[in-house]
Amino acid sequence: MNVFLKRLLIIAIALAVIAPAIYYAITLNNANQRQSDPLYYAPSDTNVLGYVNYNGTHFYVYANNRSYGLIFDTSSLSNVNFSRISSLMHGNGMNGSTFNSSSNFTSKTNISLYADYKDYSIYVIRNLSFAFIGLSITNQTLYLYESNGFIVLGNLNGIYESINATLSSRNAIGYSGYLNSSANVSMAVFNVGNKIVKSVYFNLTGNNLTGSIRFLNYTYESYFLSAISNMKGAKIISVHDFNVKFKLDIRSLISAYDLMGVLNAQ
Amino acid sequence: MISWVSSMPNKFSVAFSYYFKNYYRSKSFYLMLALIIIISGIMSYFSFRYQSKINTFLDRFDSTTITTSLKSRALDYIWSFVLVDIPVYAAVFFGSPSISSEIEDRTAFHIFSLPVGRMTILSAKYAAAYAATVLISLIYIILEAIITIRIYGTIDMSSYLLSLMLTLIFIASVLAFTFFISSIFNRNIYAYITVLIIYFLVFNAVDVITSLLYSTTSPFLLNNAANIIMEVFVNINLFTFSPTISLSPASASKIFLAVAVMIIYLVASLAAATVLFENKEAK
Repeated sequence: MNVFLKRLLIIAIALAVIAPAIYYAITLNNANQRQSDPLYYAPSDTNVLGYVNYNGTHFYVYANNRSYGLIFDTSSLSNVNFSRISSLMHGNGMNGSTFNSSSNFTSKTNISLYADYKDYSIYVIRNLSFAFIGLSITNQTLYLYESNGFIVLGNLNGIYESINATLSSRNAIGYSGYLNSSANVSMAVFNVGNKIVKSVYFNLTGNNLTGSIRFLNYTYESYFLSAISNMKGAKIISVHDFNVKFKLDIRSLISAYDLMGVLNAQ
Repeated sequence: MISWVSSMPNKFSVAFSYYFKNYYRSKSFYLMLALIIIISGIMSYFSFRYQSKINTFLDRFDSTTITTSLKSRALDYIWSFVLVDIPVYAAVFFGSPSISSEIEDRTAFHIFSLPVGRMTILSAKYAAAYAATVLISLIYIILEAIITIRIYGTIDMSSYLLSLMLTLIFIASVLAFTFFISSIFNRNIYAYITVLIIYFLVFNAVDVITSLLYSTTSPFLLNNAANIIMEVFVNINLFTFSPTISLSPASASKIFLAVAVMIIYLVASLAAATVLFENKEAK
């Protein structure tokens, strides 16, 4: 066989194998990377999406009118004991367990297998009590499941919707631009369906809160503008149509009560 | 044409048996054999001596979930941690001098004048080097199973066989890569050093940079794809700045990705080595 043809044949065969293999590898890698995004586990029809970074522990929150959930990345948790939850997913003896974490979970929490749903095992945590950033929850029953190193904790609807979101690709990854992961708290509220606001976004870093509210009409926008201009430590950055951007020092949060008082009065 | 095609397997088997004999009679083979026996001995000793350490590690998770099967998978993970580097050294010994030595030792004069196609020579040499590397690695892999069963009375056979299959693919891939490097040089020493530098220095440097910048390891590097050999037991990735720990085996998509990467290296390297070998001139 002609040497040139032989070389050509070798290169052609190699390309015929390598090209689809590269395409397949890139597709798989993109899918894996999407799975390593915490918002992959939040449903797309969520109304509230948040990110909290507190003392090195960070998690995402999602909620709508029927469901809510918290998404933890086990590798990001400062206290390795929390990964005991993860270990529960892969062994037998689900009857009971205890775990402690940086989030002050009680040591008498019972965790057990609740149901298998679409290849995922859902666990129920009974008598869950914990305190986190001043929020105290006692004797609650919550559900959780683990996937790809992420733990989703929430009410039962929240868990079902999270699993469905991962399987149908109707997840909240598209909303990631609304959240600022360098802030301590970043929150986005949208499509709430009330008559006052269309969306609310805010980021809290240290004591500085920056926010943006899009109102549905001028009446409520003017109420808000007059209220916030009376608040100590608050500053309006811009007003554009129904959209108001503002800054706030939360040390003067007492002013929030003033704001509520003013709003009520109006 | 028909006689040429029908004589190909015969020529290949003759060349294969010749090269395979050459490999297992070589000093490199006995050196690797001695190394593998020493490594296997050390691993066996540590497995018995520090068996309790596995329990201590797993205690960080939850006592109710520590089953014998999980312990055996954790032990196999540790054995595979060492296993992922064995084919690399074996491939460096058997693959790096495969083509360059023919030029350096001036044996190319005789080989190239034989009525055997260069592709047949290269494929027979590759198959012989693959057989020698698999033989060396199998000693360690079989001992891994024996020790695991001896200690825990059980072994997760599906994970073990999957790991074995992935090891065989990885050996093919890393060996093809060393053949490609060997086809570039006319001196063995350059081929040896280049393979070691690329695999242990360049790949790791790229890995450190991607870990630092993007908090993830690059799945398209051969050394990272090789980690799947151990991650099919327990999915722990200790090679990033934020290690992830999951006691479940690696997901199917992760396994397919690693296999795809290995196949890309295998085919690209073999094709490049074949083209370069066809162009080689005896000096």
